[in-house]
Amino acid sequence: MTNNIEIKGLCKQYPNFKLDNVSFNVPAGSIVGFVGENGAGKTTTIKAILDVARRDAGTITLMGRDNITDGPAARQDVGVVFDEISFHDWLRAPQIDKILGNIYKNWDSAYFFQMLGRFGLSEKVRKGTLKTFSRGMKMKLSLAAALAHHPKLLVLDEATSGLDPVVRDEILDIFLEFIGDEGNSILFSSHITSDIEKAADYLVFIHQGRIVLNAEKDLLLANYGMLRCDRATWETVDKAHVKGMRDTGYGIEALIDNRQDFRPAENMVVDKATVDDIMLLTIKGV
Amino acid sequence: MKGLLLKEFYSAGAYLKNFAIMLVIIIFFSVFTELGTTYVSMMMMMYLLVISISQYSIDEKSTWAPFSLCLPVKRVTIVGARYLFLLLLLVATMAFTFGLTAIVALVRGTEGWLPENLGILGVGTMLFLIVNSIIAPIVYKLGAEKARYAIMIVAMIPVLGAVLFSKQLTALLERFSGLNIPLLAAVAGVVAVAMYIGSMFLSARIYETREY
Repeated sequence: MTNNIEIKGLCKQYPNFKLDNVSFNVPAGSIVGFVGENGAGKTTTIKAILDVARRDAGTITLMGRDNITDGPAARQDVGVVFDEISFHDWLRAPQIDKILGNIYKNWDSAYFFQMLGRFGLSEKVRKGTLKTFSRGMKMKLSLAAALAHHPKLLVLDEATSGLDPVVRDEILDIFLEFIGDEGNSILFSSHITSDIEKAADYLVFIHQGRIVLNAEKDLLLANYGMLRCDRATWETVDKAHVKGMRDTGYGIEALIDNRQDFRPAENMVVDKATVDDIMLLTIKGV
Repeated sequence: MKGLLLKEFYSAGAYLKNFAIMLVIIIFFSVFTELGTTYVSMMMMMYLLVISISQYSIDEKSTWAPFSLCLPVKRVTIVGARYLFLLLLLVATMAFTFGLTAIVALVRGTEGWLPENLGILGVGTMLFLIVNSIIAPIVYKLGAEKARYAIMIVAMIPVLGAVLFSKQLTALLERFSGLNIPLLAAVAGVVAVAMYIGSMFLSARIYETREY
C-alpha cells in the first residue's frame, strides 16, 4: 500500500506548545480522520504538512516527495480547504477560475464549474462577489477549487465546521466519491466527530501535541466499548483493558479496548463506543 | 506567476469604485480651481501609494497569504509577483496620470505644464519605489497587522524631518540649485531602483522562513 502522506518524527516547538514526535501515514485510497481537542496540534500538523509552518525535525513526504525541497511539484497534486475561504471577498468564481487556472498545470475549468453547479451554485450566484455568498456557499466553492486540478490528496482543516448537516452531508458524499479513485486520499481534521465516524477509514487522535491513537476506524469501533457500572462493581473490574474512565456522579463510565471479548458481570453494561467517547475518555485517562 | 499577478490585479480592482469617485474629485478641482495640473499628478501618486500598501492588509484579511503557500509555487515567486505587480501598477498609473494631466492642461490652456508634471511624476516614482522598498520587508517579516505601526513610523519620518529640519532642508536645496538637476534626478532614480531590487531579494529571504 502506498502512502500519499508519510510523517515521521515531526517536531515543532512554539513558546507554549510543541508537536512531539508526530508520526502517521495517509494511505492511498483512504480517508484519515484527524481528531483532537482545541489546541491539540491538528492545525499545526496540517500547516507543517503543507509547509505553511516549517518543521524543526522529522520528515514529511507527499506522494513520495519531500514537502519542502520538492514542495511546489508535490503541491500540484494537493487540494487544500481551510476553515475559512482564502479568497478576497470581492472576487468572483470566474476570476478564481482564471487565477488558479494559471497556477495549477492540471486545472480543469469545466470541472470547476461543473462542481459549482453540482453544489447548487447557479450561474447567477457565481457571477456575484464572494461577499454575497453564505458560509456554506463559500466552503463549497473552496472545495470545488480544491478539486478542480484533479489532486491525489485533499487536506481539509475543519472544512465542515459551522456548516449545517445538509451541506456537510453533501460534502461528505463528494469525499467518498473522490476516494473512489484508489490513488486518492483525504486527510480530514474536524471537531465534528460524527463526520469523521461517517467518512473516515482511519482515525488519528492527537492530544497535547502527541499522537495517542492511530488505528483503522472500523477495527477501533468494533473493539472499543463503553462500560457502565456502579462504583462498587467498578472495583472488581480488571483495569488492563481500561483506556479511560470518569465518575458521572451516578456511577462509572469507562472506555475499554476489548469489547468483543469482554464478559460483563452483573450490574455492568457494555455498549459500542463512539469516536466522541474514545476522544473524551482517552484524554481523561484511567 | 501569471496566476499570482491576476490575483493582484483582481484584488486591486476592489478600489475601482473609490478610484472613480476620486477621479471625479480630482478632475473637478484641477479644472475648476487654481490647483491645476500639479494637483492631478500629486493626488494620483498619493493614491497609488495607498493602494500599494493596502494590498498587504487585504491578503492578510482574507487569509490568502497562508493559502498561497499551499499552491504549487515557490515562496520567492509569491514575493516576486507582488513586486512585479507594484511596478506594473506604477507604470499604468504614470501613463494614466500623464494622459489625464495633458487633458486637464488642454482644457485649462495651461502652458509649460509638461516639465513641472514630469518632475512631480519622477519624484512620485522615486518616492513610491523607496517607500515600498522599506515597507515590503517589514510586512513580510511582521505581517500587515503588526507592521502597521512600523509603516506609520516610516511614513512619519519624512514628514517630521521636513518640519523639524525645514531651515536645513531649504539651505540644502539652495546648494543643489547650482547643480546639474537632470544628473541628480538620474542618480536618485538609480538609487531608488537599486533599493527596490535589493528590497525584493530581502523580502524573498524573509518570506522563505515566514510561518502562519
